[in-house]
Amino acid sequence: MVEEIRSRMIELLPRLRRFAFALTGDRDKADDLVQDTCERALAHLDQWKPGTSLDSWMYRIAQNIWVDHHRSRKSQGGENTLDEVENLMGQDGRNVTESRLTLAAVTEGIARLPAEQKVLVAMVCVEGISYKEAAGILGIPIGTVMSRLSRARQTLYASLIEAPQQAAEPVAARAASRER
Amino acid sequence: MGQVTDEILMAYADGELSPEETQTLEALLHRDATLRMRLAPFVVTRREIANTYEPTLDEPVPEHLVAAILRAPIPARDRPTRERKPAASSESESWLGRGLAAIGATLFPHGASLATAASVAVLISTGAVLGGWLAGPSAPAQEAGLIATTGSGITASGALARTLESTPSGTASATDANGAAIVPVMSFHRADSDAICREYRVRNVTGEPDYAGLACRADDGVWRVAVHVETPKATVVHTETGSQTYQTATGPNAPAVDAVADTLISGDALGRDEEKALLENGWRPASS
Repeated sequence: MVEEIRSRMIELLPRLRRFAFALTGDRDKADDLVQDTCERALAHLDQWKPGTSLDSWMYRIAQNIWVDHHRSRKSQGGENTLDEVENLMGQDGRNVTESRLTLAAVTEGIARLPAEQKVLVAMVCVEGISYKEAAGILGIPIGTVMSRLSRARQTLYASLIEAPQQAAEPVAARAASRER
Repeated sequence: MGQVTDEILMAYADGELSPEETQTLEALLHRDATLRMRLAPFVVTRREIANTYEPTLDEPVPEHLVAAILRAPIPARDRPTRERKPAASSESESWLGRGLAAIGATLFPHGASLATAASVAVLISTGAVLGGWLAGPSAPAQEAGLIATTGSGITASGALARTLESTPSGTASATDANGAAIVPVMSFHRADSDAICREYRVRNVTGEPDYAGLACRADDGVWRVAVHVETPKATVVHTETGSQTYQTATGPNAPAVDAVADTLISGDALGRDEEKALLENGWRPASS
């Protein structure tokens, strides 16, 4: 049983890393968070109810650790360096500059969001978790999930539009083309 | 739908509305440009955020994270001992050995993405102790058409798929065009689902490597490969006219495959008659 849970945790690692990266905006911090999450989960395995979603439980642990850490350090927003963003993109040919700028705008926009909004963006938009599951993980009503998430997305959209011209253009252009 | 709130528009962009709500809203969107403008932020943010973080999934997972999971102490709860057919069992007691089992299992169950499988496979090949073992589909096997990587993961194809579907354990398939004979070694029920899994060996007469592996049958009849590793060349093979009988007891050990089987198996391997009944019934339980 325990071995199977370990294997499911290993299987979850890529998604957990992505979630943690969206929260922290930093590769190393993300991996530290993932490691803390897995260790805490295994140490408190008796608190997980078999039959319930292990994934949800792990996301909850990750976000609890992150929120605690975040509170204790009293928020210091975007530490994303351009290097970070370059690492993310790799050497992807011709559109790399445009993509990188959009990417930077997205990660920096997310980094500036309040913690409780950032968590929801990471769960729903990055991880594809449903509103209902997110509400369950965080122990808040689904209406709260939707209002927080809606505000976060409006803010983020505004920052994408206001971002430097080169960055905003592809996003805005695509948004506009959708209008027609 | 009354007043269309931002939350409703967002739920539409996120695919959270019911079919009826979607239909109603789409009718409104069709004739209301202002509404479409209000929808844009949600569509754009969803897409741009997903695109931004998607590449993270394809990165190899750092080895220390896997090690942290494998090494963390087990709380004093369950640690059941399972009975298992001794035939080709070779228990691996190190955490790395157990890790292999865990990693092997990740290649198959619970809808693991191909990206997951690929990044974990990279990990295995970097493990010093595991040198020489190929986890995941190896290039030669892929060329021989026994294994395919599809959108739904790593699956058996060609002669391997046919043999798993229709050949009893202990019987070799006819040698295929590439000179490979496949022998299912045993079949068993998975512990965590109704699926049937079969362990197999692939013997190549042409000098290509031999393989051992394990595949489980999904509801759609596709055999999904949980583990597929290269093994030392077999030594004992009886050749009869036109077919080959494989001596499993003296066949090559495949600790990696056994370890994965141990994590998946429920009870013992299927008996000969039990397997025959299932095989003849398309791997479905006879009654029900």
